[in-house]
Amino acid sequence: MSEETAYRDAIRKWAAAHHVPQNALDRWLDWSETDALALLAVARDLRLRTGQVLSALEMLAEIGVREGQGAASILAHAELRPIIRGGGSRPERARALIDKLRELRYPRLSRTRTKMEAAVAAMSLPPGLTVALPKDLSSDELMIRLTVRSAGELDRLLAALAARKEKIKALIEVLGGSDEV
Amino acid sequence: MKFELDRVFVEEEFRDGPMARRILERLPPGVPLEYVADGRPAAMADRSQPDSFAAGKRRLILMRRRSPFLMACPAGSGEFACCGYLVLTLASNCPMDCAYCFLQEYVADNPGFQVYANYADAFDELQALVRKAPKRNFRVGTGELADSLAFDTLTGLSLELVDFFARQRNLTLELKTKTDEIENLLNLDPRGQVIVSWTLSPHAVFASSEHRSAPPAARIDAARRVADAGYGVAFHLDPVIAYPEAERDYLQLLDHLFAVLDPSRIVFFSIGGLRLSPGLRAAARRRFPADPMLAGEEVLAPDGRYRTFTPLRARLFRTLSERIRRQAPGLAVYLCMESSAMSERIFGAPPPVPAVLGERLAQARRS
Repeated sequence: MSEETAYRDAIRKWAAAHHVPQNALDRWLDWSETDALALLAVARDLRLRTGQVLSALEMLAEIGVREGQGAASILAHAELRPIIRGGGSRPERARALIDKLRELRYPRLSRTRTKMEAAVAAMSLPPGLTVALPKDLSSDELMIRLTVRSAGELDRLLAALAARKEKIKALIEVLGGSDEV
Repeated sequence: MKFELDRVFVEEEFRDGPMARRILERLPPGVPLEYVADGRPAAMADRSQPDSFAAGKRRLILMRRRSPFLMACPAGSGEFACCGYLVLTLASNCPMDCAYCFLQEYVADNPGFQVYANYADAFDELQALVRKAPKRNFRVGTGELADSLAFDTLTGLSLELVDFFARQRNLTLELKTKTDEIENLLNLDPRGQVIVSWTLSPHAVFASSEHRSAPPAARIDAARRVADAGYGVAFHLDPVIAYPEAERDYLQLLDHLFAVLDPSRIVFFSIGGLRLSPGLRAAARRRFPADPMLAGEEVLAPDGRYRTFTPLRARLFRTLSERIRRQAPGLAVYLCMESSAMSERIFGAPPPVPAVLGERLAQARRS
């Protein structure tokens, strides 16, 4: 068996064992040998689940298009190397890898969301009052939810909400593009 | 524009018509010609081709349009603040090939480059519209399912369109293009009834995604020339693509535009963000896998389209509209395919209802 066939067979074998859909496998096999094997090595080392491999495949390809890099170079990135090679359980590292890839794939979205989540956390909302950011910051709707069981609780939560009105307004402004993103 | 055509089909009933004569006289030599009773099969996707959409662009079909020419803009929807634009479909598909173009999905089953030979019926439809609403003003564009000018060297359609609209009082024609094919327009008198509009993108977007279109500087220069010839000019910053240097590049583009063209000569601006349905996104990425403009920070939005995440999109809209307003206070600027809430956020006031905005934009040229 030639080396060319051997690496492709290794990927096919892993994909078959993990029920990777054919179109995803085709994309994987379209990569250069170095890139395709880099993902296989990570998938084996971290025992990635099928969904995680599919996410990694898509994000690595998209980061690659934008940055002009192959999967092997991206996976050797200084921010990813410690996750892949570092300590911790494999499931934790697998999750961390996907999270970090998402940060690299959506850098400005990640920064903005982190900043907004920190602003929500800094409000120290009481139990029963939540401020929820839209998923992936995909809309300009901020959801504020009050959960009450008594009139007194309603008064307390409304007062807590009123006390945070300016901070919530600032959050709405960030959602509406007022800040450097 | 240089056409790359594999074959031309002409429906029998139009073989001796003026449009067929014009097109056949101007065709590049050696393109096979076939007369057919019905051009519709030739317009359908040839799935045996690896890229049936691109193959469709290379089959020109001169045929009858069998449905109305005039319709409301297909981008319009109750969920968006719309501009009251009416679309006159004189052709379908386009010789250019923009990576983000919605036609990749919209005409995927019928990608043949169709030119409608019974276009005179469109004038009847327009006159019926005017008779029905004689006190209203309408902005009617030919640049939705095709570029308005990309095939004008072949068809010479703009000559008849401008002549027709110049004789109207409450119809304004918008010719929307990414070309600099304006020669046919320069010797006509539009009498205040014709706007030529350009989709403008920074050079990086042009180079990466707007294949076979004119470079942005050429579009701006063409705009200056048609403005000198008495046309209204307008610009669509659409789609705004939020690549890392986008803010800088779009502002530089606007600065260049305002340096070349006096803002007082511009009728309006529209701004819209990149928006891709899942089907369009898949088709575009399949056809242009190496285009970084298709790998930006788009997320699935509540309307089911992939859009740049909201704070970044809104920031770009705000920055661009502020720069336009600084250069041209009072100039009409509106958002395309965005909610009323987004418009209010960017412009500080809710947008007018579509009919009112449409009326304003139609009259803007004459005010």
